[in-house]
Amino acid sequence: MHRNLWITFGFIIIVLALAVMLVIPKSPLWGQKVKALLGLDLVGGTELIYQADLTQSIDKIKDMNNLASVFRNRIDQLGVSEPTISTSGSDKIIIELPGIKNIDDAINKIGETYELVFMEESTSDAGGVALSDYYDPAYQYPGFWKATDLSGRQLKGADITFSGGNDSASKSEPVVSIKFDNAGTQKFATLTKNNLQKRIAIVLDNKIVSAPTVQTEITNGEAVITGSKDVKEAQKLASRLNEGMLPVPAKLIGQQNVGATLGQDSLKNSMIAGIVGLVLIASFMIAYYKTSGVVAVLALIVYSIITMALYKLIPVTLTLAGIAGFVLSIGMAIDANILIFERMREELALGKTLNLAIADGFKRAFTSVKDSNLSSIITCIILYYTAGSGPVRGFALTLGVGIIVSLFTAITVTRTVLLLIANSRAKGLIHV
Amino acid sequence: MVLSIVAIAVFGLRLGIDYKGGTVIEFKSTNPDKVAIVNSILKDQYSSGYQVKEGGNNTIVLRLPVLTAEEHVQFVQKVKVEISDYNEVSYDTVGPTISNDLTNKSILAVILASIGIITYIAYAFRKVPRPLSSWKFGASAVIAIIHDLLITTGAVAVIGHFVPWMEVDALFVTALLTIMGFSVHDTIVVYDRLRENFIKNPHQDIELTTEESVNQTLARSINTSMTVIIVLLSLFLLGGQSVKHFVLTLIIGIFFGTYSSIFVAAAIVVRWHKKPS
Repeated sequence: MHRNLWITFGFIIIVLALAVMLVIPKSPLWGQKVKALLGLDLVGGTELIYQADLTQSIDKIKDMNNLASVFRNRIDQLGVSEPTISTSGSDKIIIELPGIKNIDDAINKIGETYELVFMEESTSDAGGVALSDYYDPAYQYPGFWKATDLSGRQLKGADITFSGGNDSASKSEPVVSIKFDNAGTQKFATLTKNNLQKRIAIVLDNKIVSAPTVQTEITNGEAVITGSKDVKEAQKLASRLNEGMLPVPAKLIGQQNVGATLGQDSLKNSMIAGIVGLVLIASFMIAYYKTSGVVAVLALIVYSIITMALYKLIPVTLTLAGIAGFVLSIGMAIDANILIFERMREELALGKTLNLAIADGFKRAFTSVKDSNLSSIITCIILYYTAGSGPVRGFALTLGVGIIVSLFTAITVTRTVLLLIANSRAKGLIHV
Repeated sequence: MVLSIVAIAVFGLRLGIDYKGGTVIEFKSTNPDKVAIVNSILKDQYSSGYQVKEGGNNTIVLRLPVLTAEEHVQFVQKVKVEISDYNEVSYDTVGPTISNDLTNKSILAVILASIGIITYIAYAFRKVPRPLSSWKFGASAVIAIIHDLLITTGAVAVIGHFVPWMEVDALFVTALLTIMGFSVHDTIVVYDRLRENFIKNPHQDIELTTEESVNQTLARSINTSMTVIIVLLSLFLLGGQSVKHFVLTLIIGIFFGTYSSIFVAAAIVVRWHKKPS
């Protein structure tokens, strides 16, 4: 019995040590690598919720993934640090941009629906239209253009490659190679056959990105677009083409901006509130349950450290609602100790020895602690999966993790420490 | 409970944009005429359906119908012409699709959680000795929960009538669910004692057994709620403005939850049991 207690105690110390190394930001081990994730309401930033129009979509999951990756590309170009892009439900994409300043600009760039079409040369009499350049709207391309039935939907991908020119003196030139799917291959073959030595325009949002001249009929669905001035331009063209593959329009249906100062204030206030709350609880517990209260407070500190470490590991993004969940789980952890101590008092009142009272107190209180906490965990799980939105989910996650940890600390830690003291010469110190 | 229903009916709940859709803008400016300026700009655009309220620290809170990104830009441009130090603290817009989604999900969450709790209690107390039924335990716990939630919602309706920040949003549902969790905690502790005492003295009058059980768990119930309310009070007084309504809802709910687990849940089991069926 005594030996088992020390083994458990050693285990607790090891877990605690690991947790401390995770929590302290500058610890030599993982503290630096594993960063705490803070929600937008705490650091400031913008959350955008887009809804995709999937009515035309054939493969909805693929289109949603595509849309998400197109969003990611566009956001990366904005240079926002650590954006998160997640799909929610069947047709929503939630984008979180921490610390972004020029939001409206970002929204314009992110949300644009690119319609990519291939156009052939035409005349104004035959219904052709004049188009300007994508990069320089002031420049108007010569000639008139007419849409074909080939669009970005039939495009499988665009990549930048290098082709060495025949002239060995010239450097290898960056070109953009494109690939069509089966339907696109056939359409492209017809298109190139009909337009030999004529230009085909690649048009995004009614502006010409590029208008290469068809050199030969292409039947394998693979083509290269030459004529890019440099690598950068070729890259730009390739990414425009890739974005243009996306036929799914998305609508901005929700937006939330939190100013950086507001976020920092909230973070600071919740921290202060949490610490004040903890100190108050600790004083109450010690005043009411004496030395046992001290042990409970120690267990509570162990609890807080382990929970923090888990939040970093999982990782849990801390939001205001999440912090509220954490604080509540502290309340539930203390509840377990109160239940146990009250029970110990009763057992002692029955005239049991200290050791027995501690053991029985824990045993008897355990059913209540287990039942009440399990029902809360069930609630958390249901919340986590039904309420798909941010704050409720964060709350359920932090509360759930907190309750599980509290079952360990409030029972194992308190019990081990109390029994160790009760078995030692210092047992006269224990008061409940 | 009746009072709460009346309060909800009379005052209604102050629905946040989470549930009805809309836009909330909060900005800071030292311009003394900012309320009048914003009001006149909004009047041109909307005849009604908007709200301008002054907050502390030179802030103004605007509530508008859903704005698109362009409308937001236009609005800010217009305001900036007259209020040069316009500083947007927060901007929040929720389209009707999201708000419908949220409402449905919240209702679903509450129903599912209730079913989960009844089932769990019925399972956990399946060994309750004969004349008592574990399903009655579960159902009584849920009646106690409904009692807590109704009273809390009623109180929120009354407070919301007088204070603008007492809004019903996604966090409100979270608060209700937490209250539910706590109420079940309390109820289970009392039930647990009831079961234990009942097994110990099966022939004692059930009413007496219940009374004993409630008394034995009283110190725990009160101490637990006290510690939680201590933390919540410090969150309420020191924590961020954006969770104030959430924390206050929790305080009310946990206060009544403790009361109900002491006086309501066990009492229902007793009544139910005594009624010849």
